[in-house]
Amino acid sequence: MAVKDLARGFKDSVWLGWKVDANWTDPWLFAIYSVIRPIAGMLIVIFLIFVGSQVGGYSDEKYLAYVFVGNTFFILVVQIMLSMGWVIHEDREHYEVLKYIYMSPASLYVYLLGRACSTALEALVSVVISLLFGVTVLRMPIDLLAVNYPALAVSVVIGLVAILSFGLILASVALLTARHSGGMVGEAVSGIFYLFCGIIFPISALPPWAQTLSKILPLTYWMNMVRNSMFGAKPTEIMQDLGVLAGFTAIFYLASLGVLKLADYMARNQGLIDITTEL
Amino acid sequence: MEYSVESRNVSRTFKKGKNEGIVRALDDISIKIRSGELFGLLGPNGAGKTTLIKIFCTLLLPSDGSAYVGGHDVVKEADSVRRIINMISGGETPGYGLLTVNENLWFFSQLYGMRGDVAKGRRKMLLDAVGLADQGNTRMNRLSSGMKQRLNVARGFMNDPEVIFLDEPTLGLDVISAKQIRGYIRNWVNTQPQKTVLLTTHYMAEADELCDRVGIIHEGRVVACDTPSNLKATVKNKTVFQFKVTGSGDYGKLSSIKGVAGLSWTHHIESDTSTLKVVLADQASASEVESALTGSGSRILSAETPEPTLEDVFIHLVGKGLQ
Amino acid sequence: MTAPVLSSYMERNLRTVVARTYVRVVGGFREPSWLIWDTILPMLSLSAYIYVYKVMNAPREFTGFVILGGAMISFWLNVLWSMAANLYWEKEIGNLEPFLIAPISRMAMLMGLAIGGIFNTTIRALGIVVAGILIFQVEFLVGDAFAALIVFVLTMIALYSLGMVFASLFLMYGREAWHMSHLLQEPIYFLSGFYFPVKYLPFWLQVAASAIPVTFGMDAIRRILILGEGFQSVSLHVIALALFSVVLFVMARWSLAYMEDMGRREGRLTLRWQ
Repeated sequence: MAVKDLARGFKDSVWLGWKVDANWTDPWLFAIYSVIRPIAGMLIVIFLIFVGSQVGGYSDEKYLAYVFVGNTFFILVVQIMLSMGWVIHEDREHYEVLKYIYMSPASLYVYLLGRACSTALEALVSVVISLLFGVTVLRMPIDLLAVNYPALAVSVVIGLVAILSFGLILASVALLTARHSGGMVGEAVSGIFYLFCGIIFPISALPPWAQTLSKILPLTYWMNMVRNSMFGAKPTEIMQDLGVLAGFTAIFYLASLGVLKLADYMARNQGLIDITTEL
Repeated sequence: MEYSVESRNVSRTFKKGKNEGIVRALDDISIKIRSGELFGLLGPNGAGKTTLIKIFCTLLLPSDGSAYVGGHDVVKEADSVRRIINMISGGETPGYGLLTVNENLWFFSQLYGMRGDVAKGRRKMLLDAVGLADQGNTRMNRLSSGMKQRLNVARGFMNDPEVIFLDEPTLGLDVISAKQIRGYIRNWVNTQPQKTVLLTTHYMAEADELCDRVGIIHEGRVVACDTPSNLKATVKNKTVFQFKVTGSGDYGKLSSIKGVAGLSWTHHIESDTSTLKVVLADQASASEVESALTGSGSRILSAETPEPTLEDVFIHLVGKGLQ
Repeated sequence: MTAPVLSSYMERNLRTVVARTYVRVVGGFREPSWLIWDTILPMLSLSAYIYVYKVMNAPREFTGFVILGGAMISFWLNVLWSMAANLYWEKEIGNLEPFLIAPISRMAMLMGLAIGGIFNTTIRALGIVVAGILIFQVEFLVGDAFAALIVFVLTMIALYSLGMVFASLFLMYGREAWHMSHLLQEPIYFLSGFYFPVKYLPFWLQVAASAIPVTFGMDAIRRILILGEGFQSVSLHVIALALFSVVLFVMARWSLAYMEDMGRREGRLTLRWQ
């Protein structure tokens, strides 16, 4: 398939993803919705720290900043996982368009990637809003002037490739599962990253076997890079994590291609491309 | 109660969107259907057939006018209406994919409070009637789309309603299945004189075959309402010419010929020919029509005057075909 | 073949409740992948919160709070997605019309959904509790089992009545209602004290939280099952939950009728892809 066709397919998928996510209401209401959800998620964790410090006597501003940054950037992971857990079910059982997309010359991979990127763009906006809200309203101990923005940009871009690869694996698995599990799968899988990637607590708190798992998940290194960038670390302090992240990202990217191909074959073999469960 | 189904000056409008005006789906519809009648509502897509059915089925309120089913007002006595009706929408396949055919029918029977043994008996009879007797233990998501539609027909008759609304019930069915369903519907009304059917369709042959009376609806208005034979008689003093010509074209301009009351045409891609039906108020205009056809480059392969059909009636009343 | 005699209104509705419960429970077990996804995997994010408390040296019972909160969240999510949003799904797959023209109470249909949902979700919640006991050695000091049962039942009635109110919105609206459900997830997790007692929230937030029935249910269940307190300490919670149950049940009835009427008036009742 020509690159031009792939690019157009990608662009159209991004547009479609935006339309599906946003055209249910007025733009200003959508904006409010996009702000409230991530802020509410942030408040849960902030209050966990607050309550923990009240009852446990442990109080550390650095840890508060650690948790705030982790939780805020994790919005990218949750939203993409949730979206990719649902997109197949939505297109297959709700709008009943999946079979038509599937049997067209358009690449299913590019279509899913476009949908994921649409969510990623929306999630990035939520991240920025949450950061600004946290720093200005909740007075989180982050100095926005000290942030290493080039390093942060690199971290986010490479991290997004890793997250999108996971999202595509999730969508591939969704080809083989039923609608009523679709809603939870995305959130549940993002729970794996939430627990093992040092998002809201250092991985040293985990048992040894779990720490080993943490070290093979690319998002652990991504989180380190993001945090270090946010706290103004020098480039040399970020390079090691960058190398590991890039390597793992490449592996998971290739895995996403393989898993989609396998799921595609299995779904077609079992007649699942246009299944409905209707519970 | 004189009429089983009745509408009195029913109108229904919908808002198109923000600042986009309204659309008038039904305009002052008054129809009366007696108990035991199989009444057909014939019209093209978008004429308002489904909108009217939804009002009778209590799914939609009329904007103006009133409607009654079994003597009950569909607005004020919706619960009473629901006890005696059911509806089958063609092309729809309601049900739960992970449940079997038997389980789905049992489920819908429970919405009408049917006892287990009664539901079982009706289920067996209906599955037999729609040709699904051997599919009882098959999960619905494993049925073909035609089978799902036949299951939908069985579902509609489970509660043995006094009035059943059939909204294009054979839509998308294969010829044999459609014939089977029509046969069941006709038999149901014939053997139970107190039952009433309101059938909507855009297949004029179906309306002609099944219906005691037909209402022709166009752009939200009933333009005629009578028995099929009486309706066809209204074009008896008109001549219907059927031409078969080579190629295709925009034959709409033929309606400007004096004496042409209406026309419709269909292009057959495989043979690259077209069939034109022209309703003439004045038989003498036939030669003008022929000249216009040959003048446009078409060759007339055949010309005949078939017996008028309901489509001819529609063409005469509306000026164009049903499809 | 004799025509079926239409049974009484009560019998029709009872049969509807049973039938809809059957669909939810039996259908759910025919595609049992949710047992894994919905039971084990939520433990991951719960574990993350437990580790936060561990890092902060919080007392052991806070681990129990998180586990119990996770179990109760299952019910909240079931109310939002499997109950409230269900009418939306029924509409999209073409089941809503046959339901709406049947001579049944809409609440009977939703009640069947609720009972089936509670059954499936209880399995899910028990799975989370068992995992919490096995992995984190959570201790449950059951103060008064009977009080726990009363609190649980009243919380379920209040919660699922609230779900019926939400379901009515789905009769009229499509994706707006869908996104409203999304919007209610995290804020309710936060306000209702799923992961920490609401007494730690600022006063004005505690007042807001008291408008949510699950706040009382969560606090009461926590006191009885983790802190080993008795009926005395949750008597006010029981009164609040009972009031919520009555008010929300009545509101659900009104809301369903109102929304259905509005949907019929505006022609949106069976309109898809809104």
